[in-house]
This record gives sequence, C-alpha cells and structure tokens, in this order.
Amino acid sequence: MQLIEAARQPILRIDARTKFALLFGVGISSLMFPPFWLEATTFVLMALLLALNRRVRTSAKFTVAFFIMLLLDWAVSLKVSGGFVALFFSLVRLGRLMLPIFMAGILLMKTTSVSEFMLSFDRMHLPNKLTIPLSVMFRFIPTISEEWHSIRDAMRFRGIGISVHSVLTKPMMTLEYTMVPLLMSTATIADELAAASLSRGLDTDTKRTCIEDVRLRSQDYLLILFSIIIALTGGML
Amino acid sequence: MSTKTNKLKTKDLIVAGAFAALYVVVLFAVVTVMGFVPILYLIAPFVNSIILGCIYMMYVTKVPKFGAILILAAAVGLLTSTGGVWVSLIWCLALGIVAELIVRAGKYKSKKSYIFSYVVFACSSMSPFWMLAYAKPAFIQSCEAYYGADYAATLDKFTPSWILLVLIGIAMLGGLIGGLVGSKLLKKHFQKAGVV
Repeated sequence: MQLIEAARQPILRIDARTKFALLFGVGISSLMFPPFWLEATTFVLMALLLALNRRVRTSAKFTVAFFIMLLLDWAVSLKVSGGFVALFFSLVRLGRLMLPIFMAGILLMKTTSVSEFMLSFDRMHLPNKLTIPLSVMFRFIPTISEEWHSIRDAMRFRGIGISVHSVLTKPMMTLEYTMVPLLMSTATIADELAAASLSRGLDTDTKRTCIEDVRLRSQDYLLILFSIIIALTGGML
Repeated sequence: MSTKTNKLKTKDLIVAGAFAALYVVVLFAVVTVMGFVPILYLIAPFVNSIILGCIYMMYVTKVPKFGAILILAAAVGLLTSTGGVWVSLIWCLALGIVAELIVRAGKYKSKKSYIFSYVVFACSSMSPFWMLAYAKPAFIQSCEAYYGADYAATLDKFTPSWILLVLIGIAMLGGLIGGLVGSKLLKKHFQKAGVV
C-alpha cells in the first residue's frame, strides 16, 4: 500500500493554481502563434512537468506526436500548394500549437485531487457556490470519457455502433442513443458523488481542513512567472 | 426532488459540476471532430447547440433554482477561455445572465421558458469561435510567413468578420431545435424513470 502511494507521489509537486496559470498562459501564447523557439520551450517544459508528475507515458506520446508533426511540417510544407495546404496547415501546424494546451489540460485534470482543487479555489477566494461545481467538473471530465467508452462498447455489442454512416443517415436516433445513456450515467454518478461528499461533511459551515500540503512553493512562483511572461509576450515577439 | 427552497444546496452544486463537465466535454469533442473539415468546422455551433440541448434541458429540470444556469455559464466560459479567448468568458456569463432571467420569468416551472432560455444560452456553443475575431490578424500573419500571401488572402476571404453573426444565428437556430428535442427526450426517457 505504501509502495503504491509512494509511486503516485509527484516528483515535483506543483499547485493547482500554478496548473491553472500554465493552462491559461500556454493557451494565450499558443494562439498568438509564438516563434518556434518559444513554442519548443513551452513544449519541453510541459513534457517535463507531465513526466515529473508521473505521467511519463502521456508525456512520451505527446513528444512523439510533436516530432512527427514537426518533421511533416519541415519536409512537406515547402513542396505542397493549393487546396491541400489548408488541410495540411490546420492538421499539422495548428495541431502542433494545440499540443501544449492539451498537455496543460491533462496536467491540471489528471494530477490534481478534488481536495486540492477545493483548497486551491478557496485560496483564490472564489465563492463557495463556484468552488464545488468547478472542483467536481475538473474531476468529472476524465470520468465522462471513461463512461463514453463503455457506452460506445455497449452499443457496438448490440450492433448499433456509432459511425459516420449512422450519424449521416439517422442523426436524431444516434443522438438519442448516445445522449440518453450519457445523461443517465451522469445523473447517477452525480447523485452518488453528492451522497459520498455529504456524508463526509461537505456542507458543514466550518472551515475545511485538507490532508494535502497545498501551498505555493518556489517552483510554483517560477512557473506562474513563466506563464505570465509567455502570455504577455507571445504576440509581440 | 426538493423544490421547496429556491436556494442552491451542496447537492445541487455537485450536480451542476457534473453536468457542466458533460456539457464542456461534448462541446469540445464536437468541435474537434468537425474541425478536421473546414466547412464542417463552421457549422459546428449548429450541431453543438442541437446535441447540447439535451444536456441543458436535463440539467435545468434537475436543478430548477436560481444560479444554476449561471454556474454552468461560468464553467463553460472558464474552459472555453483557456485558449486565451477572454471574450468568451464574458460572452458566456452574459448569456448565462439573460438565460437565467428568462427562466426566472417562467418561475422555474415553465417548459417554454426553459426552451427559450436555451435558445439564448446555445450561443455559448460558438464561444470558441471568438478566436476568429481575436487571433485572426496573428493567424493571417503567420500564414503569410509560412505559406505566402496568396494563401493568407484566401483564408482572409473565407473568414470575414460578419461570419461571427452567422455563427450566432445558426447557434440560435440549433438552440431552438436542441431545446425542443431535449425536452422531448426528457419526457420520453427520464421523467418516467424518475431521474429528474
């Protein structure tokens, strides 16, 4: 048990607020079309942070994708012309710019516990009416993709798998068959989650304590500074 | 379903978070899938509004209290603005307030007011597209550097600034369809099962 716990501990602990700052900073900077060296720096930093938070495989996958896109861009972009360019451009260059944003999103959602979220939002002085929905939301996003995969598998077993064909020929039916189970499971899980959190005293009026050590460390300040700098300078460079 | 108080309880807040997550995931999934084909990308708000209609209708019937829609709006706005599009947070919040007022006018009971509020709220599904207005100059400039002035000019022609109005229009149309479909699905599947 202790071994499992130790394996889960991040090597470099970063605060949820820092992860937010990174998500926004990287987002703003990427959409401003930064010069290549800045893009590469951001990417390397995000890959490192993911790896240091025990997401080595995710980090490796993104790195491979980044290099494939980079090679394609360098090898092909000068030779193609015409309508193909538009598709190519949106797939390779825009896709590559999106990678760090996805990575920041994964870092935020997959390496932060609900209690860390709650405490961090609390420290940001957000009202209670917002901290609970937002914390639940960020934890729920991975759950939904899991649910979605099981629903899709269940549909395939019954021979009503969702495909381009089914979307085009029977759009409303496909919509009904996918959304109803999704809504149903969301409602059920939400109810269960509510019961679980209420029994642990989520709606008491006293100040909550947290087992996690939530505070801003020096690495947090550095990363927040980095986010602010890339957000501000992304467009100007 | 406790509808006696009109105040949000902790349970409602958790439900709000869960549905906000579902809303945002579907929103981004549709935009990403459709993003591969440029023309489809532009009708993504329409498709999104229809699909998200079910989620919205289910959510508002499950939490018929003041503030519920605003929380959803804040969550959607926050996540769609992660791409650096600050406008979309303000846009979503404004839509949330209007939708909230419409539902309030229907005293949180009228189904028509829910559908009507969704027609307004559905405009939030085009919020990722504020990027077009916001990051376009940088985008065009970058295209010019990479692929020459010809390509940049073509791209510029395809995305005039009034395209945002068109996007809002189709989002509202989709919202009407989505609201109607959503309330029908709700009646067919969930009210009988006692989920809402």
